[in-house]
Amino acid sequence: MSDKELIAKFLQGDDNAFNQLAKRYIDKIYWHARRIVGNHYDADEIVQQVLVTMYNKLNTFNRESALYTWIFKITYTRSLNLLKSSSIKKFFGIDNEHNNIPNEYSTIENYENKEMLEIIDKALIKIPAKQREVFSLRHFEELSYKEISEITGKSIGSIKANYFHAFNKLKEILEDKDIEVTINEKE
Amino acid sequence: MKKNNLKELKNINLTDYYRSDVMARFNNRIKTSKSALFLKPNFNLVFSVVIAFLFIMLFSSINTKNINLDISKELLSADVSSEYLIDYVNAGNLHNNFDLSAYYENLSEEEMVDIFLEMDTLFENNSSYLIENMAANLEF
Repeated sequence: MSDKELIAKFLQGDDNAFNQLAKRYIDKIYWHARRIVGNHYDADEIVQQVLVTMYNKLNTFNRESALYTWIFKITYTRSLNLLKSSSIKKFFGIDNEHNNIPNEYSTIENYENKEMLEIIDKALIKIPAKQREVFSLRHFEELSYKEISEITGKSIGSIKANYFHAFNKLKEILEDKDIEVTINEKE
Repeated sequence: MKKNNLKELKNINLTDYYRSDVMARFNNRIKTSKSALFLKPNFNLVFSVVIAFLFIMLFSSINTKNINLDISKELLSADVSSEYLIDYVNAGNLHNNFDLSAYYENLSEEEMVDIFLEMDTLFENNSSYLIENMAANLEF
């Protein structure tokens, strides 16, 4: 069943249709949030917030555009808000220390993946949040510059600039860790 | 050592356990927010403040009303006949101070004697010093 059909069903009162939609996008929301916020616990909270927002606001979604761009937009806004609030909390010394808590073993199966993820989390957090956002959408989600522009509300020129800045910085950081970063040439 | 490409790492999957856990927590959250519409996290603070404000307003108006009623009742039931005017203030105001010499100068002999006798009573027969002093001043 397509996204549009599931949305229509949900708007008619079928909660099961929403559950199917949510299951379809959980991974995308989680990984995108995690690449921006840099840890499992905040990413998990973003997933919950995005699902609740989707549930409450799906009736306002313009069904002419793609659902994933709408979802990424919510994820982007929520992640940036969380980063802002946690930087304020850090400033006042009331930040919770969950960043140092090891991730749940049940979230990711493979130990090698866990190790790699930790390296990537640490590398991504070293570049500015807005560059992280663009890099993640371009590199991991393989979205076009136009789609990223719709999500972030920035011009294609500034997105390209953000992407290349992020790419160069990450390449430099990850080279020491034996991780290769190749540019995404897809338009 | 094997060289990894960053792109390969986008294929990491979440476990089914975690996915179902996310959905269970989400459904629980939605159920709670549906059953407690007025206690939604976003509205919690606003509602608490508004309700607290209304309570304070309500109770403060009731209290003021009660206090005012009590005072009115007390005033109305007071025994006015037992009250008396306090006259000595007028004497003090004669020259805006408590120097009474001018007041005494204008008194007749009889009035002075009355006052001295009264003072004698007031000071329990120990007013002789006062009488002598005043008599000296007034050449009485």
